[in-house]
Amino acid sequence: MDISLIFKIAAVGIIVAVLNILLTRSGRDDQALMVTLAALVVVLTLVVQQISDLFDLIRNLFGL
Amino acid sequence: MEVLVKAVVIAITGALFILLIKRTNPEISTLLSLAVSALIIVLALRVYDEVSEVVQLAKLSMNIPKSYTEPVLKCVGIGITTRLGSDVCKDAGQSAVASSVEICGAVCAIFVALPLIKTFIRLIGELA
Repeated sequence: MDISLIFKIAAVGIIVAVLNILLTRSGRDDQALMVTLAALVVVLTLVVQQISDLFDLIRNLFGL
Repeated sequence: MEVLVKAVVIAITGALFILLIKRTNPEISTLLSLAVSALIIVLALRVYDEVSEVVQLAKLSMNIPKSYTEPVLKCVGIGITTRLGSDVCKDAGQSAVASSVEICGAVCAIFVALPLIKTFIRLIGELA
């Protein structure tokens, strides 16, 4: 689960970067923004899962 | 030892990917830095399981009352979370948000240590 998460997020980031350049080059800037927003939501869902696992681990380990 | 090597490898690859993505969309790179640091802390905390067993053993053998060691562990947990939160905010360029997170962490740490401080003051009262 661990390294693959980083590669997943990096892949999403790279794809969005390429798409943004393509879309801005062809003049459709609003769609570029939409793509960035969509990618942000996808990455957020991935990261939120990882962060909740981390905070649960800290809570159990330190008795918080 | 291999945990350290694994953490360094994850950190370096993560940092490279963050740099790669930072130019075009910095928000995803901030999320990636958060994910990488969370991952490394999870790795480190898995090592901590053995350490906490030794702490339990020490507590039982030297019968240190629980109310003394519990705030210490809680403060460590608060410290880790506060540090992670404020440094990610600082990376994202929001140093004001980072310092407010640190202030909140300090207040929580004091709140956790309150019973300890009370027993300390009572102890001093008896001595004086």
